[in-house]
Amino acid sequence: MDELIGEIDRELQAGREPCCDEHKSQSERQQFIEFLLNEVVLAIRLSSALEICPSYEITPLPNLPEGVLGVCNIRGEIISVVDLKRYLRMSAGGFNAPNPLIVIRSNVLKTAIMVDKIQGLLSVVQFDPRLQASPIAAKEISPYLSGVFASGDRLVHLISSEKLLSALRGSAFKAE
Amino acid sequence: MPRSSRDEIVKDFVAELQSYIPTLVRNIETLKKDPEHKDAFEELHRLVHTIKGAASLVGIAGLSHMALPMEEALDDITTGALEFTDELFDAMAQTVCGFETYAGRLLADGMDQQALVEKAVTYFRRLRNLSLNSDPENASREAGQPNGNIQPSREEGADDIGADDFPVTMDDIPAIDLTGETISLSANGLEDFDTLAVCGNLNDPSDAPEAAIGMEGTVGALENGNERSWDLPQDELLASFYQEAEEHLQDLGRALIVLESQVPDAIATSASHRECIRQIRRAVHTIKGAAAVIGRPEISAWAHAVEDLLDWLHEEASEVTPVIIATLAESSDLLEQFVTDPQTVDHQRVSILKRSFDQIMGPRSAARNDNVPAFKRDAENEESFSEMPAESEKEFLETLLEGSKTDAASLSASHAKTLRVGLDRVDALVNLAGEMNIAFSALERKMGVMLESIGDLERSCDRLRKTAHDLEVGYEVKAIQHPGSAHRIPPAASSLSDSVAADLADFDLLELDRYSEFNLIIRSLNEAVLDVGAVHNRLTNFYNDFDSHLNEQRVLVSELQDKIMRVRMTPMTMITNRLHRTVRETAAKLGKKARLVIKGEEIELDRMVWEKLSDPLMHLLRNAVDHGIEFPVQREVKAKPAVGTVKVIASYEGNQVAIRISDDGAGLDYEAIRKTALHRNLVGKPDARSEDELAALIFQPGLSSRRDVSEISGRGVGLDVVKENIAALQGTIRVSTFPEDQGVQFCLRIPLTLAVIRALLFTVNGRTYALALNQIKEIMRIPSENIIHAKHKAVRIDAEIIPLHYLSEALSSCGQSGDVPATAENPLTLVVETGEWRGAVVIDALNAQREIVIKNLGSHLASVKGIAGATIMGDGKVVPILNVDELFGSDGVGREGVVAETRSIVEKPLEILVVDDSVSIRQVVVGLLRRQGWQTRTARDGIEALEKVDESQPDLILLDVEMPKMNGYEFMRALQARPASRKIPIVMLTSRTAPKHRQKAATLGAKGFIVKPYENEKLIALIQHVIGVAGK
Repeated sequence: MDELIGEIDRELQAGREPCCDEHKSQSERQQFIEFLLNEVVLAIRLSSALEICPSYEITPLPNLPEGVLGVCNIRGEIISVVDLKRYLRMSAGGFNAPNPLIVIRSNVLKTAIMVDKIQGLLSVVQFDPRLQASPIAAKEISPYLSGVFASGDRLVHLISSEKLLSALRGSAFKAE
Repeated sequence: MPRSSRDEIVKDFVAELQSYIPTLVRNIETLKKDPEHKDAFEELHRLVHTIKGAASLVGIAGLSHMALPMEEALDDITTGALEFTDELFDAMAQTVCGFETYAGRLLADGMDQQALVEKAVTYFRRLRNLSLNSDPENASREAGQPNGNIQPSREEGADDIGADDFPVTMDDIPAIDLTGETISLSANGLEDFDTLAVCGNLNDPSDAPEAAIGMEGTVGALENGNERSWDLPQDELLASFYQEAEEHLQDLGRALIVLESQVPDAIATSASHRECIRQIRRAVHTIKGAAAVIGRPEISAWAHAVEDLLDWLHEEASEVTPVIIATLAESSDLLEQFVTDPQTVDHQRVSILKRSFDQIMGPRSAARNDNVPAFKRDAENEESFSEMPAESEKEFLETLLEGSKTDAASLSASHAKTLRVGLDRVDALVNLAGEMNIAFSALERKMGVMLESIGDLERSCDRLRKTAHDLEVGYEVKAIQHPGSAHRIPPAASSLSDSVAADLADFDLLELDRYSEFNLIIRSLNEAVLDVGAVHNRLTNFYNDFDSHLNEQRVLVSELQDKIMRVRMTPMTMITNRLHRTVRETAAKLGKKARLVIKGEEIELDRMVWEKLSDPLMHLLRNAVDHGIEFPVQREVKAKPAVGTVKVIASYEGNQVAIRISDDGAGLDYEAIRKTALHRNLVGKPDARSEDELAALIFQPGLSSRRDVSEISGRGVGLDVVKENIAALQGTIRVSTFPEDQGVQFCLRIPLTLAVIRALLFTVNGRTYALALNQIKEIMRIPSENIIHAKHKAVRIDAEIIPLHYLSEALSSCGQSGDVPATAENPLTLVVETGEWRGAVVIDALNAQREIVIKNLGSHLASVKGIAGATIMGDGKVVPILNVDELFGSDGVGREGVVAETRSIVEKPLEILVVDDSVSIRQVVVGLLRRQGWQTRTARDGIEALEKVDESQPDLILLDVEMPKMNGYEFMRALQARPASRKIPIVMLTSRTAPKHRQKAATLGAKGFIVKPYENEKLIALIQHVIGVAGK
């Protein structure tokens, strides 16, 4: 936990400093939370994430839609937990050590997604909006992609939280 | 309006009327002597006007008609068109006499009011040299001036005709009375155009809607005014007026702002301007009507003046200018001031504004006059005409002044009684109250811990006492056993100096108590025991005090919560009238016979929720009558009662309100649905669909099985909208059909957000669940011989056989395993009864009963089948609240699949038993494991570990080797001897690294071996690996 926070803080610092230097690019600079799913590097906009929970307790419920593990209590609020890997059918899932949760929200929906590992924060000055498809990402992710960009030696897949959340919402309705 | 309240009002009015009569008579006498007596004239004029207005308002049209000609005559005198003559005085005296007679007879039956009215009207008509057959003045009015006023001098009269409209358009009973009256009047051949004029105006469509709008407030106020005295507005009445007025003032303000933004410069009036003006006018009009009813004439007078301007703007003005808007804004401010703070109204400002109104409308009046040549105005009247505004303005001002004087005192008092608070604030309060409950339960838990500690303290204290006692007895007895051996006590331990000891040496121990240091220690030990006992007592008392304070607090908290929840809640009665009307009207239109049965009218829901529910409910009711209930002939053939029944039954179910709408009609027409579905291509193969699936299709947009589109339903928009509306309330709707022509039932479930319920907490598969207490009829252990093991299990309870369900099965996806403890002797069972479902539910163990705060499952999982909500316990754990009806209800399609799928991924967290004799190792390991989200228990040695294993089986044991009492190897051997526990995987965690130790562990069945100090990741990985292996 402490390590994680430290890491995030460092990343934040790293992200901030150049920001202050070049005011011009500030508006274009965007921050993402970078995380891993099955070794695929994904990222989600920092603005769509509310918090990161390293420890929590999931209460499972019956009759949940596919990929939803249950609910957990995050600061007095009951929030659903989605095993992103399972939801995207990237693996059969299965119980493993609790992975970190990222609480994401849109106007109508708030949920927590479980990911393999949180890498840290990523600051991107600019990325080519034309790049939409990824050569290596599994096709399961592609409906939720809103962009792909290279960061260092990694290929980062930007997940659109809006698309993801509306899909989650749809599946919740179907399950009902 | 209920008849009784109207009678009440009429009675009050008569009393008022009778109080006026002496004044009227006196004033007529004064005028007879001195026709120039202005005060008397004005008072007379005003009283007649009041009588006329009030009479029409309470629905006594006859009296109003009687007063009207007298008022007109007085108007004419003001303008100089008429002089006081003896005849006129006679007529007036007779009219006043007529008032008295009318008033006296009004309450008695069989009065000849027509004759009275006729007499008064014809008398004055003759006096004023008007034709009895055709009265141009009235004719012009009958022609329907759109504004209801032609010039200032006529405005009062016109206003009252507007007022005449009120009861007629809005109120059924007086309407019938009135029209009946007027029709009979004309039928009697009475050529009275006044009456006809009123009729004309009544039917004038341009006036009607406006009047109707105005009456919404007025009638409401009148209804509220039930059993209230007429001239003394009651606090409550005033309070509702303020509330209403404020709302309208807000509307007005909004519309004004829109208008303002649209009119930067003088521009031609457009449709959108008109719309804004119409909105403003409606607000002003409503305030006017309501103010008049509650007895605030100054408000209604000002509102009336503003309305004139608005009328003109809406109907005639060709352009709107910023000046007009500014005037309007100022007038609306003034109106607000009149409503909220009449004392501070600046009357200078009123007259200035009034004048600017006239300026704005000025040209219109003249034009109007030209356009209506029939209007009776001679050249000589022009003069007085120009004076008129001043005259009427004076009167107007007087009304304003008078009103503000009389009402000022009562106003401030009644103003404080209601408070309009934003919904979000109330919500925040409700939330806080809920949080308080959660915090409280945390406190309660701590209290429990404290009680435990106090118990521990007591036990320790007892032990200490016993030890001290043993020590004392043992030591002293030993000393006695060796008499004369006092010297054995080591000198160093002796408290006495050697010389003194020598002195006393000749005493035997029994003869003289001698205190060694050890004695003193024992004594101080004894004292310490007493002290600790005292502390324990104090703590116990403290705890008890604290507990009783807490109890007090608990009562207060629950009361507070109750009150806060009530703030927003209203019973269903709020909408039942609408529902009854819907069924009645629909049935009447279709020529069907249906009655509506409503149960659970006392069920309370948020006011807003009822408002939003009323449309979908009415829609469902219309559907039930239109599609469901058959025509009487068909019903006869089917041997059903001719009158169809539609039922609306509301009940609480957990944190939801369930509303069931059922009818005993023909049910769903599956054939038609199938055809339409096929036609619209809504589903792939509708033929293959089951009836249940087809039934679900009716919520699809565009699906209507109706061949003919009727006025009532069948246009294909409907149930999908209903479903949307209900979904917007976070609710659900389900349809279920009864077999063979027994009709159809819709079940709406609306969540009670953040409600508090009493619930029973119990465990199933090691997890805690809650169930609303009001659904549980009985808690019992059922003897296993009563269980009927058929395909669907059932149980005999007394003389009844009800279905038996195992929660552990249904919830297996949430638990560790799906093992059904069906073999358990006498399983613990809850007999559950919800609205439509009854069954016995087997649980594992009871936990507690407590008040819980219901929270929803978050925005993502708006509704999970079988789960009514969740609550957060004091320790932060989430406890699901079950909806057994849904869980076990008939609609179980696809459930199995879902369960099978989720079982593999959703598991209870691992439970690990950490066995180590070192506290710090236990703590460190437990901390690490907990961070992984696993549950842990600890044991100090092998013996304790065995006890823990017997209590409940952990998923894995982390075992140290060297421990007191029973070491790791011994423990493993003991575990192997227990068949139930043999399979528990064991990981050795030891500082012994020798291969010998490893081998020993492996032979005893350890699944893993890790050496202290360990690396966190390695330990976790090892555990995961072992669990994975063990799982397979």
